[in-house]
Amino acid sequence: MNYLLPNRLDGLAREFALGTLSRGAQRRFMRVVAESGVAARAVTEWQERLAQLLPYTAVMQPRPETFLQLQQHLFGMDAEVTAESTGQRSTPQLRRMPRTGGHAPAMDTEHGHFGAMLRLLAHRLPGLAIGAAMCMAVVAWQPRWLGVEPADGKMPPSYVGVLDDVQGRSMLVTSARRHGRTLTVRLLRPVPLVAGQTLQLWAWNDSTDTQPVPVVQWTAPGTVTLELQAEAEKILGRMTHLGVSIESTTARPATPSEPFIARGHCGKLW
Amino acid sequence: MTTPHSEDLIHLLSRTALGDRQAFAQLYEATSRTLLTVAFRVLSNRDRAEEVLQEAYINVWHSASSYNASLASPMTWLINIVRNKAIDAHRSRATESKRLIALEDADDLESIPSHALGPEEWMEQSLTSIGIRACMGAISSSQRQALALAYYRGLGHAEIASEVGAPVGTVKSWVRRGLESLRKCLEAKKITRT
Repeated sequence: MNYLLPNRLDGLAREFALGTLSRGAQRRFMRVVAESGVAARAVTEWQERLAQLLPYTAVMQPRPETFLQLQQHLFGMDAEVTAESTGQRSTPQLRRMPRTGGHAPAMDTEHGHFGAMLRLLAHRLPGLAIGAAMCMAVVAWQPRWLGVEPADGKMPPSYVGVLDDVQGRSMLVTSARRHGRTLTVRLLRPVPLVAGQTLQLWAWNDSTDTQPVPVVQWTAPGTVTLELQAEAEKILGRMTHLGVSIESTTARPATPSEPFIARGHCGKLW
Repeated sequence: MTTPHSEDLIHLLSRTALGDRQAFAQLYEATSRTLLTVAFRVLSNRDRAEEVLQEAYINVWHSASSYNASLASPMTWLINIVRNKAIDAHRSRATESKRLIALEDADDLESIPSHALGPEEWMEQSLTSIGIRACMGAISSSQRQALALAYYRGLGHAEIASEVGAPVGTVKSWVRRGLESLRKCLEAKKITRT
């Protein structure tokens, strides 16, 4: 059969683009499309027409885990991103596009200055894993994705923590404004607590070998905003790491009494 | 939502084809909301739509070099990948007797006032937004309904026939006429690319 007769080709391309060809006919026509530029163009023209039926006004926000899992699948969460051509370390932050004429993605135009901040952060924290960096990028650019500090036109969070569990899976995200007296915490994975137990966030500085100091306690799942004893700058300003342990609600230990169930970097973005 | 600019997306796709992870992340940021919506409309299930979205971007990462800017706009290329994957996922679960949009999923659809919105409403919304609603008014509501079910839900002729209670031959005719009307209206409006 000559699939390239104009009327026949148009009909097949139309049904192929719409997805209503039967599986057998679809397979046969795919071979034609692969071999014929005319057929490929006919299909594309119909795909272009049908794409007009997608309004850009009603859209869904993908879950943050979707992108993190995508990154993990493609690149591995523990792999550090290294610029292959230069041998220099770089972060997977979403940098400003070099072109000036077009519309850059909203995230880029609205928060372009954070690219530089994250690059700085990466140089300060050379061991930062890609997953942590991506989480930080998400928090910095799209805090609403993770349910942490809303952007709301004010200054974005200064202190951001991304904590992994012992299997290396992202478990917790924290954020606080520099001079804020609250810390927003979001658990990405449930932690089974029994009565009398609480989660305790600790902060410490690896380079000065200080002991972890308690920051906040909480028990609620999901996203919670917790009061800090002082401005975030005073508590977290010199800290490089965060950890979470399970403690007793009746005790206020000065040091963790249990091993950390999650730990990660405490990044200062600006 | 800001419509992604084609030139920017072409640039990002070309960088992605070279293995640039930052460009890939930017591409995801610029397009994932639209593409998730495409998948969700076919599948009516948030979890499956997110899975399809992931699979589609894995495909994009590995095959960005096959994108041909002279043949299709980048959004059309991306939409096609996601839509085909969503239709495949839908057909692989064809035994499901009925698909309902969970209330919590419907809440994720920004700008849509009610979870009751369905393919026909999406179609009306789209035709209005691109200014061809009056032109498409020339075809019957049955033709528009058949086209909407085929495009947004990824249903085949037999499934549409079952859903609307009409013979398969009639449905094929409705779909064909609906598509022909779409072509004429777009051409009259000189709309060619996303």
